[in-house]
Amino acid sequence: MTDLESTPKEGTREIVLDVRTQDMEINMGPQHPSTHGVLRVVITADGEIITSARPYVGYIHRCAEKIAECVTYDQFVPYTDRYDYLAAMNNNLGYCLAVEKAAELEVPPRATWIRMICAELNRIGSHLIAFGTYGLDLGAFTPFLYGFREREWMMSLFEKICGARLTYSFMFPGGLANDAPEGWFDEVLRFCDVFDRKWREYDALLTRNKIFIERTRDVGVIPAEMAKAYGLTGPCLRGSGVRFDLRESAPYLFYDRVSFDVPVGQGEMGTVGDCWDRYFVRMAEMLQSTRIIRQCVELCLAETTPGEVMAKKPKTLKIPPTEVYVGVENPRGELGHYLVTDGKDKAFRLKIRGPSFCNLSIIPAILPGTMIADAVAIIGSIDIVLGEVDR
Amino acid sequence: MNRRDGFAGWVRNLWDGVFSTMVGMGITIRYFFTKPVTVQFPEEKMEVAPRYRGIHYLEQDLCIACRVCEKACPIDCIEIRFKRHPGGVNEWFEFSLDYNKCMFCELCCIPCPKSCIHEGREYSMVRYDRSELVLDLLTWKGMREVDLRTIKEAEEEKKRKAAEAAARRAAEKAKKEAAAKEGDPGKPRKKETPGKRDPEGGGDER
Amino acid sequence: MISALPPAAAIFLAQGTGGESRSLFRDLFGAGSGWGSFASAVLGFAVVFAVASALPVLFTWAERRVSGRMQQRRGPNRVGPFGLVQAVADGVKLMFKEDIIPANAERFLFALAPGLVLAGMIAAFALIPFSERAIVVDAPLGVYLLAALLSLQVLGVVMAGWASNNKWSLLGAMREAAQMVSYEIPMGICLLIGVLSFSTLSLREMSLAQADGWLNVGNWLIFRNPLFAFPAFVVLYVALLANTKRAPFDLPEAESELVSGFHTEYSGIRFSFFFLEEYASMFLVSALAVCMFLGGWNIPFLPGSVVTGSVGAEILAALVLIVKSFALVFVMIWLRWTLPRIRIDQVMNLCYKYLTPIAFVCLIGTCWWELR
Repeated sequence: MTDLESTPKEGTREIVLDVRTQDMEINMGPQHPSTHGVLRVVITADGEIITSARPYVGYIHRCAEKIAECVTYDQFVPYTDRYDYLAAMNNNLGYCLAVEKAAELEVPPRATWIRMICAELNRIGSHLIAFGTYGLDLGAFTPFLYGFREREWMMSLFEKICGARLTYSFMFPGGLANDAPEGWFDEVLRFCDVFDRKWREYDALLTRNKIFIERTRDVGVIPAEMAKAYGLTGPCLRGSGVRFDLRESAPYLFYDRVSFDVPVGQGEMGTVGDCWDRYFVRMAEMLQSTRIIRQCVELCLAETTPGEVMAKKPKTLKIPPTEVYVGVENPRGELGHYLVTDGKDKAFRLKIRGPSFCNLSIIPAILPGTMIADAVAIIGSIDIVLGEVDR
Repeated sequence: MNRRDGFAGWVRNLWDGVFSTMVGMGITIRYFFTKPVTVQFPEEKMEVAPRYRGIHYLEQDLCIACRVCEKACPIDCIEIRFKRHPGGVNEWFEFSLDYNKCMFCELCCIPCPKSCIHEGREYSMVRYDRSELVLDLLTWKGMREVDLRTIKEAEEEKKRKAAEAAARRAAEKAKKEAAAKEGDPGKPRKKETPGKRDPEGGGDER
Repeated sequence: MISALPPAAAIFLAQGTGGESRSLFRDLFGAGSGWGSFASAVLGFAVVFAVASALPVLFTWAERRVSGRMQQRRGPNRVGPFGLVQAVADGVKLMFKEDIIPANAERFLFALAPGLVLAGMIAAFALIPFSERAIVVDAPLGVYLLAALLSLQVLGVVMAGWASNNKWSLLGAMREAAQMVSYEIPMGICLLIGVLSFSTLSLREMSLAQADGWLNVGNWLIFRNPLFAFPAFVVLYVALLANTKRAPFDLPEAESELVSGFHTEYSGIRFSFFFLEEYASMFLVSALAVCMFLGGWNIPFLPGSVVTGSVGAEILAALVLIVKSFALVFVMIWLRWTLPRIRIDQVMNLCYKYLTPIAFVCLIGTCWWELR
């Protein structure tokens, strides 16, 4: 890129080219339709080809970590709903597990089973959004609404158990706010059955569509080494062929008691680690989630009776000075809570490791060399939630 | 889908493109002939679950104005103003929730010792102005007839008790004096009965 | 109204080259005389303009309604019965919206572009034979003129994209230019197949030639020459989709990539011009494909005499053509709500590696078929 304004040095002749091309700087976001919120990516493009990309975050920073130092342990639960608002149950879970580990609370088994069911249901709901918005990013509108149709049912299941449809605040340190109402488990099983049927429809409508495959295969390839180097977790890492799932490698709750597969990208359509692989890992995970839910419901009904879902704990939880780190497998990757306590009823410090934030860091590395339309496909395949990137 | 080069690949690509488009179109047209799943909101409303967390309601006759909910709220959106009267009667001025802030976390309902604040099933909060979203949950303000009676009874009771206590004290005093006169050291002095508190005090107003 | 002049001029021009053509309006005013020709052009323009602006109203409703049902929603249902007046309400709203011209835009071109786009489309309407005589201009070179008017859009779109002084708009315009110019090749070849088969360039004569035959559909081009004309019809349909910027070829306006593409900066009435153009040209290209490949106004299994001769028959003919075109428009809508969007390099691939060779094979095959 030559500087057009510069004056020629003395003794040299300026050569004027016929066609002087210049890279174009395009500001994608924060109000762009496909940046999934208020992400701003400044793209330098040579025509349609991207030469560099820089993401800028922080537009919805809400000081979640600082708020954690100002409110009691129970009071922070509603805030956890709000960083990854598509997977509020999983966030509740991660935070509660951290506090429970620090306070050494014994959670009743029924609460643990219901926690698992909720976490997996929410994983389905979150992946449905990822599936739908990915279709939307690539121009297919209809899968989005089909995804929402099933997600609606999932949300009404949550509404039945906890009373809210998006920001659940259902899990509290020590257990749950409520036991499952009558008939809830049956409906969960019914949902799983219907969902498995609908999943085949998504597969035929979008996953196996030729145009969709052409748009996503060999696009935004993240090799396994690079994925590890950038600290990717969740479907982005597994899409690159790395079998790493906290539910399997460091089981929490009762994940060691249920059987499930960890889908990894195999390069079925193109290269291992392309957008299609990342997308398909999510799709395959949804089926694994229904499998886990079925086992959980069975074991929960067999081993526990309705009743106690909250550990015995003092009215205001005070945790003696300690430090814990708990990571859970969120739909988007590893959500870590690093909790430092000092004996008061409030956390001394809470550090949240958001998976979206870490996954987003790969964007400048893989965008250059792709087309602008691919930028949308790649950002969509990484499936970020800006609420969690900024927290 | 394995990639092939040459003419075979060309035909394969063409076939994949046409076939997968047909499959997709088959799915969409099938839904074209099904019924919509949406509900027309203002006319039809989806039934909410019994546990739905909507706009709060307060069972005011149970409420003892302990302010636990106010303390439990993570964002301080509850505001309670009352005045305590004798007989456990509260004169209510305000029990308002700021729905601009409220996030329906149910943290106010969990610690309530009387279980008198609940999140209801009403969810529509369309207003023309933000100030209209500060809702007062009180069903009555000030005091009811029955409260006034309770206060009166309590005051009468208090007076009665005070009078009784005074009488008892007087009798004891007389007894003690009599005993002293007789040279008997007598029993230890009895503690004062409660009821010395100012009947008008104890109010709590902000 | 800036868009009024070019179509009127185009029609007048076409009238001039009309030769021995027959048209309802010419019959009305008496062919030959200059004033009659002028009057028929004005009336023809009025009719065409009315049709061209009424159709988008219907199609936007249809699109939203159909997409709604395909997605298990209801679609518009508030304004009027079944929400039919929704598009009118939207149009009125657009008319009263503020007309914003960006500060650094090239004002003249910015204002001219939507008019130009709309004008080309409306002028092309004059060439569609709704029945034997219900045609504003029956130009002997009808197919050429139509193809030329269709390609006028690209000028307006590039103009809009460049004049907006917005990078997204520019990218959209560039995509549009590349796409339109490329897809004119398979489109032109497929149109040539029709021309070759009927030995005429007049759409009206093509429609007439497709009457009767085996089961009274045998003369339709796709049945007359099924081996080559049917693939040619599919290729033409795909090329026309790309020409009208319909999904999956909607990348000039790709809302998830380029915000809104070439009309990002347009608002109010100017935006509605682009909108009108998109929906009216959906009908236009469908009618073109119907006239050439699907038997024009002829009713399947009924002889051609049913739809020619009397005024009543011609009204029926016009209805048949409209119903057939609506069927093709429905497929466009159906495709849009099923498929993802293609990337620009794949659009080029599809055109040059798939459609163009197939079109050429069909052309050569048709030559052989006709000489058989």
